[in-house]
Amino acid sequence: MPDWNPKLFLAAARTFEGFCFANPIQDPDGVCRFGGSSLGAAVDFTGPFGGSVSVRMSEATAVALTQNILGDDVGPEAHLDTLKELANVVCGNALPEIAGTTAVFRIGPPYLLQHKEQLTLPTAAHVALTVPEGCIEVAFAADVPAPAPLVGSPA
Amino acid sequence: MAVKVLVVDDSAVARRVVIKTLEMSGASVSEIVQAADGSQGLAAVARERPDLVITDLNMPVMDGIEMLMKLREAPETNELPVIVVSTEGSETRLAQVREAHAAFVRKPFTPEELVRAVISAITGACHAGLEPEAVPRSGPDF
Repeated sequence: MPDWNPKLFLAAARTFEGFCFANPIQDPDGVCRFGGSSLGAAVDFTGPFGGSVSVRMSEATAVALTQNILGDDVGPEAHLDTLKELANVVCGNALPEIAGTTAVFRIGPPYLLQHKEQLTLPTAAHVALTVPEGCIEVAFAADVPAPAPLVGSPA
Repeated sequence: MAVKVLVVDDSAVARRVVIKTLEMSGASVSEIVQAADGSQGLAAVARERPDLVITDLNMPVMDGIEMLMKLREAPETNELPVIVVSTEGSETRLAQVREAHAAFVRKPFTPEELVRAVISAITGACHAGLEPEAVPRSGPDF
């Protein structure tokens, strides 16, 4: 497991706890099994190194999380905006965890990913979170390799 | 006296989260107006004359830092209370916010964090009736 996975999970869990009132647990397999199609959103960043962060979940999960945030009075595409904002917030919280608070990154505007569309850069960290509304995959891709875990450190 | 608040964020959901937090807080907010980027935000400030601006940093067209600097350059808005609400947590960005005399609230935030920042930002300027009791004591984070 790349050394950045625990940091990515920490940032993602903080985001979903704070933004969606969800208390996620980490899926040990690190993979969600979406029944049908899934929705994804990503943001790209540049700085000391470049990369992307993506968030993927089922449409039903996205709708349920949006209702958690805004109540039932939401527009038909509010869940897509929620997904993009979640990718933005996870990225903003993950970068200081991974690169430190002195590193300055420029985060681009979030965009939607098609079903099964993957990030272009190699994945440096990847976690799956389970919340009552469903399973959520979060990936961190970078143009630098993630450091190997320290010998004897927890996976 | 109730205050008029301008919320600037390119995410409609993020704007609604801020607005919902203010509405649920019981704060004395008379009107909330919205803008989707810094350029629209500057236009809204000129048009609407808000008492407080709550803005994101990372936005297209014009980001929150550039908007904040332009507000500080103009004599009529150089003391306008501004709260930056953003995911960006680098020390450099925070220093820019502090130098522009703006408050900072990290996303995701709790209702308490945002409402305290609102009270702190405007109380000294206009004693707008936002009492500490208006801060929600419990409830979900945003």
